[in-house]
Amino acid sequence: MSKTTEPTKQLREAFEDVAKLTAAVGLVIFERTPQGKFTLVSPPPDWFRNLVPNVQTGSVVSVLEAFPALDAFLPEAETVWNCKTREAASELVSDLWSEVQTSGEELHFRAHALKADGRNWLLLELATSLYRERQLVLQYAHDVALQNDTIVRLNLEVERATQAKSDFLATMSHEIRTPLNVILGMAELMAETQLTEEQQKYVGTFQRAGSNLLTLINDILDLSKVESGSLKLESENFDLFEVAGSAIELVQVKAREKGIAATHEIAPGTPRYLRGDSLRLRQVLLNLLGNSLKFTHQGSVRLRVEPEPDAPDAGIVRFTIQDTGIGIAKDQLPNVFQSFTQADSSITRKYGGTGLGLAISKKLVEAMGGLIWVESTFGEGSTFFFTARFGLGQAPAVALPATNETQASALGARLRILVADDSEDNRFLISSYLKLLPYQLDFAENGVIALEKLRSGTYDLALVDVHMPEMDGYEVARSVRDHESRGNNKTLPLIALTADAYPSVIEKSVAAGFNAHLTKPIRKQTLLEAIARHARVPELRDVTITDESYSRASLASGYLKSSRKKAAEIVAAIGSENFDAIRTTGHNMKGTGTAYGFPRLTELGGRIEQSAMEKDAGAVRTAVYDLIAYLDQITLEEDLQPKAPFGSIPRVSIKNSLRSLAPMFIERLRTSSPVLQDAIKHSDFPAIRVFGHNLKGNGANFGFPVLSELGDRLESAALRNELGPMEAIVGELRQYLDFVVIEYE
Amino acid sequence: MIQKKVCMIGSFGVGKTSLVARFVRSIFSEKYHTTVGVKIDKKVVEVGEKQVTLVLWDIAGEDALTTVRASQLRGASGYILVVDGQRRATYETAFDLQRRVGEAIGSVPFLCVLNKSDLRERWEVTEDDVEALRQSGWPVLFSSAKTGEGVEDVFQELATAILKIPNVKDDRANEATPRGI
Repeated sequence: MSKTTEPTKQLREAFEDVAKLTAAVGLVIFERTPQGKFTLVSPPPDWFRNLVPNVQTGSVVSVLEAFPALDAFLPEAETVWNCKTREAASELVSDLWSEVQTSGEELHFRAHALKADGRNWLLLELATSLYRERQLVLQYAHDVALQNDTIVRLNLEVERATQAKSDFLATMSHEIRTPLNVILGMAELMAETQLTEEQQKYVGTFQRAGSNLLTLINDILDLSKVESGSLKLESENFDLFEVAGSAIELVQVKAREKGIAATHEIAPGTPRYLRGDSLRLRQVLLNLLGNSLKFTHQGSVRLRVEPEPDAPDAGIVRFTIQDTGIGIAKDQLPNVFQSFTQADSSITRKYGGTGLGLAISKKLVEAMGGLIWVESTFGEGSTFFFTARFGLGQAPAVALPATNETQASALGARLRILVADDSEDNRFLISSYLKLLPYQLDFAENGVIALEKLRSGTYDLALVDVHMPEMDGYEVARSVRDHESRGNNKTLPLIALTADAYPSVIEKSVAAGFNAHLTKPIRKQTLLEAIARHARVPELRDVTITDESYSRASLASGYLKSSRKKAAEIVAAIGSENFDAIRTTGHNMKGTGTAYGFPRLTELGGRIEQSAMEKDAGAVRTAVYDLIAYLDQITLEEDLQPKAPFGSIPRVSIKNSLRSLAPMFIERLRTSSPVLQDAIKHSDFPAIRVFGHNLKGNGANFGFPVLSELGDRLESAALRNELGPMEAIVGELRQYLDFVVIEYE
Repeated sequence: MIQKKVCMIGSFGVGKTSLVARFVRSIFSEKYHTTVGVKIDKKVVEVGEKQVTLVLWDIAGEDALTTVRASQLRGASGYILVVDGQRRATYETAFDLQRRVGEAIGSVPFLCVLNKSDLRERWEVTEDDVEALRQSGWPVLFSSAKTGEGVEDVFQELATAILKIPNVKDDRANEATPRGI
C-alpha cells in the first residue's frame, strides 16, 4: 500500500483516467494486502455503493460478507497470489454469479484474481451482458433438451396408447370370436341338415356374412399387430415355387368362375428353397391376387416370380401381379396402400372389401425388408410389384410317409378325448362336430374338473380352453406335464383352444406344454385335422370293427369324393398344361392317401407329381386314368362287418350317378334326425310333415326305398296330426341309419 | 445473527430458482430463466427462538454443459435436492447428485423436494419411486413453487435440522456417510 500513498500528479491523473474507465466498464478494483485484506483502489460506482454502503477509495472492504459467492473463488485465487515466480502477469477468472437485491433485482458478476509487478489484485466485474449471453446459450440448450424430453414422453404415451389399442383389440377379438365361433359352427351344422331352398339361402347368407366378419376381424388384428410392432416373422425353410403355385391354385377356382385366366411363371434363376415367413408371403400374394381378381372382369391375372434385378444378394425376390382389370386413376394411385382406403369410395359399394388388404400387404412387405408399388393405366389394368428379402434355404429331406399314429387316428380307432371348456355352447359345438366320428368324448367345465379327469382317466387327447374358471388351461397343461414328468407317464397330446390369435398367446401355450393351439372360431375341418395329427395311438382296444364303421366310411367317403374332384381337376389342368397345379395336387394326394387308408392313392399321387415335374403330359394322363379307375373300383363297405340287429344288414345298391352323394345324404340324415325328434317333442306337425316329405323324395332319389317309405309314413301321420306312430317311425329310421351299408354296383 | 449456507441442487429446470423466489419474495414467474453459475439470495427464518439467516446458494442446474462443483458446495450447512415430478430423469439424477455432494462436503442435513406438485396428474415419478427414496433414508417433501404449497416447510425443516447440529463443521469431519435430516 505504501507505494500508492504518495502518488505523483501524473500518476494521480492516470488513476483518475482509470477510475473513469473502470466506472464506465463496471469494474471495481481491490488490492489484496499481504495480510489478506482487500483495499478498494478504484472509485466505487453507484451499484457498488448500493451493495456496500459507506465506502470510498482506500477503504478496506469485507468482500466475503458483501459477496458470499466469492467464498468459492478466493481459495482458488490464493494460488495465483501466492505464486512466487515473477513471470508475466497470471490471471484467474471466476464463474459468473448473481446477487439478488432486496428489491429482487439481480446483479451479475465475475471476479478476476491478478498478479502484476509482485502485487495482488482482485477485480470485480459487473458482467450483465456476458451473463445474458451465457444465459441465452444455456436456455436454448435447455429448451431443446426439454422439448426432447417432451417428445420422448409423447412417444412413450403413443406407445402406451398403441399397446392399449392392441390389448383392446386382442380382448375384443376374444369376445367377438367366441360367439362367432358358435354362430359359424352352428351354421355349418345347420347347412348339413335338410333345409328348404329358402332356408338354404338364409343359412348361406349368414355363413357368408359370418365369414366376412371373421375376415374383417382378422384383417384388423393383423394391421394392429403390424402397427404395434408385435408381428413376428418366422424364419423357416420353405419352397418358394410351392408357395407361388399354391397361391395361384387358390385363386384359380374364383378365376374360373369369372372366366379369367390365372397363371404364374417362375423366371429361370429364381432360388427355390428360401428361409423366411412363407405364411406371410402367401398372405401378401393372396391379398394382391385376390385384389387383382376382384377388379378384373375379363382377360387374365398373372403372377411372375423372379430374382430382383441387380439385387445385392440372391435372396431378394421380385413378385409381379399383372391384371387386365379396371385399372386405377392416376390421382388415386397414392392412396392405394392406405388403410381403409380404396381408390374411390364408390368402389367399396360396388366391389365390397374393407380396404385393409393392401395396407396390410404393404406393412408385411416392409417387414420382410421389401418394397411394394403399383403401376396402372385406368381402364387397362394394374401391375402390382413387391420385393422381399429372404435367406437362402435348403431343399427338404424326402417327405416322411404318414406315421402309424396318423393312420390309426384318421381311420378312426376309438379315441378317448376330453373336452375342457367352460362355455356350454363351445362344448356343444365340439361334440356336434365330433358326434359322427368314433370318438369317445368326455367333458369338463372348468380346469379343476379337467385335471381330475385327466389324472384319473385314460385319454388319447385333450382339447383345453385356456380361459376357464377355477383353473385356467395353462395351469392344467403345466400340472399335466409336471405329473407326467414325475410319474414317467406317456405324454398326453394337449390342444389349446383360445380366441386369441396373438403370437404371444401361442408362445404361452407352448411354454405351458400344449402340443398345438387352435384359434377360435374353430372350423370342423381344422379340428379334425388337429385331432388326426396329434391324438395318441390308442392301445389295442376296440379294434374289432363295430357300428362305428359308418363313421369311418363317412370320413373315407368324403376323402374319396374330394379325390374324384381332384382327378377331374388334373384332367382339366393337362389340357392347359398347368403342370404346377398338377404337381401340387399329386403331392397332396401322395401325402394324404395312406393316412385315410388308401395307400394306392399315395402311390398314384406320387406318380402324378413326378410326371408333372417332368412336364410329361402323357405320363400324367396315364396316371390319372389309373386313379379314376381305382376310385371307380372302391366299394366303401370293404372289410366292414357291422353287427346287425335285424339278423341281416340292410344293403343298398346305388346308381352310379349318385354314388358319391349317397354317403353324404345318409350323413346329413344322421345329423338332422335330432331336429325331427325335437319337432315331435313339440308336436310341430308342419315341420314333421316337411321332414317326411323330403325324406320320401330324397330317399327314392338316392336309392333308399326304405327311407322313402318311412318318409311317407311320417308325412301322413303329420298330416293327420297323429303323434302315436311317430315314436316307432323315428326308432326305425334311427336303426336303419345306424346299420345301413352302401354298396356300389 | 447466525448465517447458514444452504445449497439448492438438482437438474436444470426443476424449479430451484422458483422455490427460492417463492420462499424469499413470495413470487412466481411462469417464464423459465436458466441460472448461470450461482445465484445468491438470503432470508431470515426463525427456529424456535433463534433467528438464522439462510444464505441460499442457488446453483445452476446440472445439464450437458454444467456440473455442480465442489468449490460451490464448500461450507454448506445443508442442501435441498430438487426433483421435477414430471421428469423422471431428474429423479434419477438426484441419486447421483446426492452421492457427489456427500463426497464433497460430508454428511450435512439435506432433504429431497419433489417439486411441481400442482401438476401431479402429469408426473412420471410414481408413488413407488417416492417410497424408494424414503426407503433409502431420504426425507421427502412435496412442493409447488407455483402455488406455494409446501415451500415454507422445505426451508423451515432444513433450517431446524441444521440448527440441531451445533458444530456442523467439527462434526462433519468425523462422519463418514452422508445422511438426511
